[in-house]
Amino acid sequence: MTLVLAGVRKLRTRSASLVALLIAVALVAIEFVVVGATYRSSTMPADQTATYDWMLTFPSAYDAVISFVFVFGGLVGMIYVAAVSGTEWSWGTLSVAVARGESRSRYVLATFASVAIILLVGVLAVFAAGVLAAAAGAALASLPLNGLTDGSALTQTALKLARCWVAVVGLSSVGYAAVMVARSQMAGIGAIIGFYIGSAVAPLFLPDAIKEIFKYLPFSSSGDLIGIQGPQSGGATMSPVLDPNFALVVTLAWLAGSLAIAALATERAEITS
Amino acid sequence: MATNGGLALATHGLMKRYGRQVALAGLDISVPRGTVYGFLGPNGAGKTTTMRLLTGLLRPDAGSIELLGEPYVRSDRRRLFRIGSLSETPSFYPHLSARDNLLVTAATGKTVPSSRVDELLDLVGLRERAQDRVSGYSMGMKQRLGIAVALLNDPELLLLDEPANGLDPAGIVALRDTLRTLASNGKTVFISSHILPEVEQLADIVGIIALGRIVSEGPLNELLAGQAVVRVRVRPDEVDRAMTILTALAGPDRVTIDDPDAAWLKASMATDRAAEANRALGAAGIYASGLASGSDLESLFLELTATQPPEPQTPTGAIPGWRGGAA
Repeated sequence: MTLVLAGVRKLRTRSASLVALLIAVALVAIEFVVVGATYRSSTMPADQTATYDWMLTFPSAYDAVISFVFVFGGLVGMIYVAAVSGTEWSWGTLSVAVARGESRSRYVLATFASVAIILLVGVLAVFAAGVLAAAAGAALASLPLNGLTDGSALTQTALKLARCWVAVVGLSSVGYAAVMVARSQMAGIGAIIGFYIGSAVAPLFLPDAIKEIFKYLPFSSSGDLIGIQGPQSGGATMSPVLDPNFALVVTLAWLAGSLAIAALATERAEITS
Repeated sequence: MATNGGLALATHGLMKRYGRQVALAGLDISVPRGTVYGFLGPNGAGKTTTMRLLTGLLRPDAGSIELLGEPYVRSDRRRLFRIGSLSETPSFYPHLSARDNLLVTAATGKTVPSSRVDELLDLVGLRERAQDRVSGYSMGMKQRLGIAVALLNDPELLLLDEPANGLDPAGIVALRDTLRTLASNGKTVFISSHILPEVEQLADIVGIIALGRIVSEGPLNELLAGQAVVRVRVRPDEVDRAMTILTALAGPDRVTIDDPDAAWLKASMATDRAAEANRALGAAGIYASGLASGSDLESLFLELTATQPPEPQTPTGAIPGWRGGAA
């Protein structure tokens, strides 16, 4: 626990923590304010109106905010994790810990645990900013805010937000493993962006049988575990591909696997810096 | 392997390669407890590689290490709880203060009480700047902080790689005093350096490494016994005559021109014969404008490291006297 708290001490004053938070807040907030500002129910197509209503009408807006926290927070979180963990190698601070007799695996796991705590703070802050932005968007669109304090919706929202944090942590663990294997901040960030784009684009060109695999990949499974039903679109509701509880198991498997790889790579590494 | 309780550190046939490049080619060193050991070598000789092997950052390809009297392998990490180390370029979190850096470092390995952090900030003279971010520190201040990190555990054995790097004269004196105090309290100090005067002032025992092997090891005074020199400065037009006179005293091939521009001559002879040399020169009408005597670690170092076979990986076109290499 001492090591985890020391990790939080390292991260909380780091400019990367603040920058990542501001980027995620800005991305989420701008989305809702722009949607609110451009909402015109009388002139928009029905599908678009349904999506806008889903984003700006509470309590469904809570789901929309969480979705955006996951989409933007997940990507920013992965890059953030890569940035802060990569410097353990480039700054030589990992070598100081090892030379003091610290267990490499324990250090790797404790460092990620402290990152997960910072991510929890980040997810809560981005969610809060997103709710404010959704309320502002609703005001701009002249939509009512009466679902904002719906008790049962708030309970569900808390649960979904917890799942969102697990999803972001699960995604970030993949970035963490990439950095610890590559021992380089830039290589890790490059791998994450490549993986992100590849996961989104590759299914468009692959045969159906292979496409099936993609629903088990981190970006897909971690999104499904939140269990959010999207808005009505084209007569259908956008739903998770995997059952949310199964997606949770898949994401936890990715988390465990990524941390195991990170620990193993660090245990075997020859530290020359 | 038999253990040796009298040694704080020993290596036996230690070998390490980076690809085709040999960094250590069978290193044997013995560091008795309670001594200051100077580990000297030119750039690329294998000093930093040795330090990394001793602190578990690298795995040896062959050979063995004993730390604090017992065989050490990398998995035996708890042995490092009793060892403090300083790398050539100390590593910190630049956005944290010195105090926070020490606190987060103290959370690794053997846990250290926070009171120890303040003690060490006082010791290294950083108390006044303890709350400042390390990114604003000078090289010397970072070095002081690195020394504080090395001392966090109150270690029995200190491994220091170029500890005087970047320190101002007051810092060097303070470091020297601290290391002497530690040694007098029974701690063992292993200093890797190429700053010879610093080591000469501190070390009880010296090991000289070249091309990954120890080429000389022993008590400093014994190593220097055969290295006594008398230096004399004369007028440039008197150099030839002075050489003849000094050769008559010191013996054939024992006198060299040490610095042609300043007309310094160096005679390998007992230091207590400096007055005799001066008298002989005066009798011939040559009045020395400079006279110095002493043992010469630099000469010993250059002699031992220059006689090694050329390094196989030296790039063609390299400037003579400069050896490349990551080690």
